[in-house]
This record gives sequence, C-alpha cells and structure tokens, in this order.
Amino acid sequence: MSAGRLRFVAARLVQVLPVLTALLLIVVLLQQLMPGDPARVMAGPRATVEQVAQVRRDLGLDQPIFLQFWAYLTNLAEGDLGRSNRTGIPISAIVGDRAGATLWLMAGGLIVSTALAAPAALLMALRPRSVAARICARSLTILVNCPPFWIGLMLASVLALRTGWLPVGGFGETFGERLRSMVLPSLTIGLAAMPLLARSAAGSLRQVLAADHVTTARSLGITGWPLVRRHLLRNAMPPAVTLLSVQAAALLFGAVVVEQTFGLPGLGAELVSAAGQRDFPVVQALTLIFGCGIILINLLADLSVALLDPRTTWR
Amino acid sequence: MTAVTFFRARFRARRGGGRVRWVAVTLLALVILAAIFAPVLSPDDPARQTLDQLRPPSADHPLGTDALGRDVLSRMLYALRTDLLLMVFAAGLPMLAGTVIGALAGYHGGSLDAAVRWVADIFQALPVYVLLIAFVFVLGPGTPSLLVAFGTLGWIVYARLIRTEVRRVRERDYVSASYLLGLSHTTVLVRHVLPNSLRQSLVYLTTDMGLALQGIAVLSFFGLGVEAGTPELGAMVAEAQVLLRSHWWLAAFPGLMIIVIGSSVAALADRFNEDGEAG
Repeated sequence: MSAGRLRFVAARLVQVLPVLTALLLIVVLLQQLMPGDPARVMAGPRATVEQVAQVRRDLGLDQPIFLQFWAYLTNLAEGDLGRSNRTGIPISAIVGDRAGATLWLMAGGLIVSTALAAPAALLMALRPRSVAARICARSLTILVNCPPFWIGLMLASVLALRTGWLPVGGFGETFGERLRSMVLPSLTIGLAAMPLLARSAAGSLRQVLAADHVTTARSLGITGWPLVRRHLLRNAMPPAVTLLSVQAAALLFGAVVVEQTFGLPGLGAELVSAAGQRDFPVVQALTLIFGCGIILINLLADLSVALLDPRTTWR
Repeated sequence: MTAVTFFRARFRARRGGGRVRWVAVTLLALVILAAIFAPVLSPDDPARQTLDQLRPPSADHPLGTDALGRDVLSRMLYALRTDLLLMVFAAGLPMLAGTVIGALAGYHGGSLDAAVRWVADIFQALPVYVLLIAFVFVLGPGTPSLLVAFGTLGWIVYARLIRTEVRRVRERDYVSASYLLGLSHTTVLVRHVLPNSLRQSLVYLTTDMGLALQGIAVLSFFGLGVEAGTPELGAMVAEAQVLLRSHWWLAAFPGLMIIVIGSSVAALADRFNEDGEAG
C-alpha cells in the first residue's frame, strides 16, 4: 500500500473518534433534555418521595453530569446497556433477541433495492434521452415520495390480504416460513430505498461514461454489454461501495418503518414501542446501537474504497 | 437577487416544454387551496364522532367514515392544513437558523467557522432519522417538539451551504467596494453578501420540504408525531392499518395525498436543480 493510502486509512480511523464521542454525549445528554424529573418519570406515577430519591440514587442522577457520562461509559465497556423500564429485562438481551429480524430485513432490502436499481441506473445512464429512461426518472420521483409504510400496507393489501399468497405479518418459526414472511417487508424496503440508489448510481455511471478511456473504447468500436462490463462497471465499483454505505442508513430507517408496519420483532419496532411507552433506557441504547452501526458501515466502506481504488489519498 | 426574483427567473427560464411542471404547480395549488378553504369545503366537523362508523363512500360522506364515525373527507382536508404547515415550518425554521449561523460563520471565519464545520462533519456521520425519533421521544409528542427536533437536526445542511457561499462571495470586488464606501459589516453581510449566497439553500429547501413531509408522516404513523386526534395524513394511515382488509381506502387516500404533495414539490425542486446546473 502506498504512503498516500496508508495516510488515508490512518486519518479515517482517527476521524471516527470525535464522531463516536459526540454520539455518546448526545445519548447521555438526552436524559437532561427530558421535560420533568427523569427519576420521577421512571419511578412511575404512584411512587413516594423516598422511592423517587432511591431511583435517583440508583441511576446516579444525583451525580454531576461528567460522572454520569463516565458511569455510562464504564457500564458500556462491561457490555451493560442498562435495563428496560417496562420489563426490567437487560437491554443487551433484548438486542440479542431482536437484532436477527432487523439484519434479515436489511439484507432483503439490500438485495431487492440493488436488483431494482441496477437496470434503472443503466437505462438512465446509457440512454438518457429515451422515452423509457424518462418514464423511469419520473416514476422514481413519485416512488421516492411514497411513504414507506404506505407502500407496505398497499402491497400487503394486494399480495397478502386479497390473494393470501403471502403472510401479512409476523416472523415465522422455520426457515421457509421466515423466508416467506420476509418477502413483503423486503419488497417494501427495497422499493423505498431504490430511487435514491438508482439516481446516484446513474450519476456515477454517467461520470465514468464521460471518462477518456471510455471515449477511446467507444471510438475503437466497443459498444453494448462488453463496454459496460469491461470499461464501465470496474471503474464504477469504488463509487458503488460508497453508495452502498449511504444505502445502509436508508435501509436501517426502512427497517425501522417496515418492522412497525408488518409487526416484525426487530430492533426498530422495539425502538418505536419503547419511545411510545416512555422507556428511556431502551431508546437510549438503541439510538447508540443504530448510530454505531452507521458509523461502522461508513468506515468499512471508505476503507474498502481505499483498497479498491489505488488513487485514494487523504483529501 | 432576492428570493422572489430568484423564483421568477427560474420559472421564466423554462417557458416551453414544462408540462410536468404545470401539472405539479396545478396540483400543489389545488392542495393549498383545499387546505385554506378546508372549513368551507368540509362536509362535516373533522372531530365530530358519530355512530355512523366505517361507512363506505356515499353522497353524505364522499370518502366514507372512519372507525369513530368521523367524516374522512373532512379529516383529510384538515390534515392537509396540518401537513402543509408542518412541512413549511419543519424545513423553513432550520433554513432560517442555518442561514444566520452559516452567514456569521462564513463571514467572520475563525473559531465560530471551525466550530460550525466540526459540528456539521459529526452530524453528517450520524443517522438523522434515528436521532429524530430519539429527540421527539425526549421532548414528548406534539407539534412544538416536532419542530424543535427538525430544527436541531436540520440547520446543519443550510449552515454548511451558506457558509461556503458566503466565503466565496465575500472575496468579490463589489464587496470590497462596499467597504470602501464606508458600509458597516452588518450592512455588507445582509445587503450584499447574503442575497448572493442563498441560491443553493433555496434549491435545497425544496428538497428538504419533501423530506420533512415524509419525516412528519412517518413519526405520526409511529404515534410520535402530532398530538393524538389531530387530523394528519400519516396518523390517518396508522389508524386505518388494522382495517386494511375491509376498508383499504381509509389507508390508501391519505397516503396518495402525501405522494401528490411530495411529488409536486419534488417536480418543482428538479426544475430548480436543472436550471441551477444550466445557468
């Protein structure tokens, strides 16, 4: 690896630190933003003054803020994310229980959105003035403005309720059932995440198309699939990896919405129900986990671009 | 160039061949008119509950009634008010805050500028929607917390755009000339630098309004957005979710309305974008 790329990798790794610190700070400070006394809220409406004071001591809320921050960090380092307000179950157990569905959904959404976006992007980049490409671009504008939960409900209405082809919700027990129950949610996430992916992919394909080596190849009479495969796709790979990382945020948000729509037992549904029932520790922990996930995916994407593209240097 | 001349110039630039734009403008105008005249157009009080529950569309109730016997058309008209207003403020307030902060940072530079850039870099690396849920949760449901949450997370993009433009414009000859004329920093910034730095932010504003509309609808669908009972399109879809099998239209129409508003705004945004690139 050249010095420039090494510098890139080192600088990118260092860059993660302030972002992580900021995320941790936000997550700890969220509690201070809550209206009213958090100890009173957590102790419940029927708690006595002594019970509230006990809760405050237990949670360390009588300590100065930087000590609270430190306490949260040390607990985190031991893998302790706190306990749910509602059930008292350790949050790490909840996460272990529910991460599966979310990961399944994100994988499904990734497959569907890529499968849908790739042909659309190729069409819009290679034949930008054709009628098909224009119709495609217009449909994308409409699709990007469809609320994802609405797409999900309409798909369910047509493909599940009316025909009974697919289950309406739930996660299933066996592998086959699970696969079937993933079809509609994956389609929904895929459709919701696809327009932005297709547009950015078309944009970077256009850039590659305008590059000198492609003009040369075209002037040598190379067209069609050989041109796409040998000269376009390879050079479009590094931007595509970056696109995938941008996609991760969209897929994650899509998963949150779709879990809620189809009643899937994932992390997103847990976040929403915890927020609805004022379960602060769970909201706090899941915000942290989702944030870390996105930071990690972005980091991995940038690092793999550095490996794929020998031209990468730091700025 | 002020905002008004900006939009006028953008529109004039595309006199021919803008069929899509005209459809978008017409639809948007209809939606806005429907929202303004909601009290006149509504067949019924949107909050009045009756025992006439879950009726299919009829002459009395053109879109039927919901599970509490409320007239769906009236609720939708009032929901347009909620959503359009929230959309404008959820995108407009961040733009206002971002413009002020970005202009000061870009104009004065130094530690304020460094701080703004630092905050912007960090927030760009965090998942906005998840933070949005967390913020709205912390502040409690309701319109004020929605706007605070959107404002807290939204100003950053505008500040970044304005900051870059202000730094560029500040170096122009006519700005130096303004100093030579003895104008104060405030006058130069507000009268001469800022108006020429707003274009990209205005283009982004149109995109941002679409995002805000979706965000509000999704949060309300989760039950974390507007106060319970407020007519709002996302909340209407949520209420209709359990009735999907028998009353699919209760979920379909409010969703279609979101799409119409969002797509119209987006079609206009696309125009601005193209014109911005061309001009």
